[in-house]
Amino acid sequence: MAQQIDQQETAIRYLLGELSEEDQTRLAEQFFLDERKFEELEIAEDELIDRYVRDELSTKDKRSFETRMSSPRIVERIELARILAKKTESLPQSQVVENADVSWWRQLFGATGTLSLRPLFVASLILLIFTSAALVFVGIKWRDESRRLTQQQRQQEELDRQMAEQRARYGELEGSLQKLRQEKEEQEKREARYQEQIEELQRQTQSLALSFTLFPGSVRGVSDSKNRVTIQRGVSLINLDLEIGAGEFSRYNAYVQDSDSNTISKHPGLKPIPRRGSKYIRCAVAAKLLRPGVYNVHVEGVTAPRETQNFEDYQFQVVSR
Amino acid sequence: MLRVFEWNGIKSADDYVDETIDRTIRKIDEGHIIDNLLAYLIGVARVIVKELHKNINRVPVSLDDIPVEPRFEEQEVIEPEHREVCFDQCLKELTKDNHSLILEYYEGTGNEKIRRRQRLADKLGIPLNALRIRAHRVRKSLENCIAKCLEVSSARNN
Repeated sequence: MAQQIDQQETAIRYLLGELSEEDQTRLAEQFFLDERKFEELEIAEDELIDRYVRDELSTKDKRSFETRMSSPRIVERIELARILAKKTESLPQSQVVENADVSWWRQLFGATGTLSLRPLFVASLILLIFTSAALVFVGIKWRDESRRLTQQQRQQEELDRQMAEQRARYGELEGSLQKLRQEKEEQEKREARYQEQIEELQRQTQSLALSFTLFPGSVRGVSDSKNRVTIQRGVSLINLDLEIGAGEFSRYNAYVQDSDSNTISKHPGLKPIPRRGSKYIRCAVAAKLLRPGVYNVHVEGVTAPRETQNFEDYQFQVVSR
Repeated sequence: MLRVFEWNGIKSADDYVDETIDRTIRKIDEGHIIDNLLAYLIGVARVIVKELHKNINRVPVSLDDIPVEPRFEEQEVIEPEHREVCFDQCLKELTKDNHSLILEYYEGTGNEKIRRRQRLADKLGIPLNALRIRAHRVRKSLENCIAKCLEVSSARNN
């Protein structure tokens, strides 16, 4: 901006013929060969004429102006500038200036206004200020109250949410508990039923099972009482207790075979049971498999997994009553 | 070219513009090669201005012949009322923006005027230099309008 002002001042100096001969010639060439520079010179002419009609030129500049600016065109421009100056002087202060030059306080209290209206204006202003202050106070209170209520509402909502969660969880737990109770009841019922079945089975077993002790060796005939098994009516299970003496094996395999050496019942992995100074192994055989006749129980000692060694044969005779 | 003479205080600028052109044509006829015609013309005009100033200074002037009032004031031929009427009329013909711009731009004096112009530029959102150019162009169009208005007015009076 300072550069522009300098340029304008130089142009004004040019117009007033105050520059050196060299500068005058140089500037003349610049101004007349460049349209923009020429316009600058015209603006400087406007400014010079404006200052002249408003009597803002120094005595020296005024004299130079009057000497040099004597063409009819410039004379006409000076006349128009005078009218323009008169118009702008007679106009009310423009908004631009009012906004900038007059302080807000003076604007408010009507420095340019009518004196008689000032007290009324001041009173209105004071009333307005108090009303505004009251409104601001109420507004702030309302805002605080509103914030507090909003916070309370949020807390209440949070509590409701937590309660709903707890209720849901309680409902789930109650459901689980109910289910467990039912399961427990069913389990108890099942156990009771099983117990009854076991007891019934035990009763049946006790009433329908018979045990016989067999010794190694063969029978000599129907009259031989050794290793005789008598099956009575209603007996369903025959326990054959095989005497194994000292029995050096920990496990035994027993095969009940008919007279044709067909295996009718297998009993692997029997564990010896000590009784009355000796050891026994028991084979439980369904009574219906044993028809009257001679049978044999072939016993092997288990030495290692899948390895056996022949131990003893127990021949017995089945008779029925 | 006309302005060279006008801004150097030469009254009959038109005549001297013709003289400038005549001299330039003669030089060309003599075989001078001119690279930049406009610059050459400006140069010739400056020479003529110098010659005129020398002659003015050499011619003795009687004290009685020295004008009391500036010379341009003697040239007033238009009635001031006509000019003002035309001024008002042409001012109304400007757009609302240009109307307020020209009045606000030329409002005030001295430093106050400078500050006012800066604020006006700020209000319009343009640099001060752009404002100067805009105001100048509006003023120019206003003056052209007034010139035409005065011609019409003068013709009617005649």
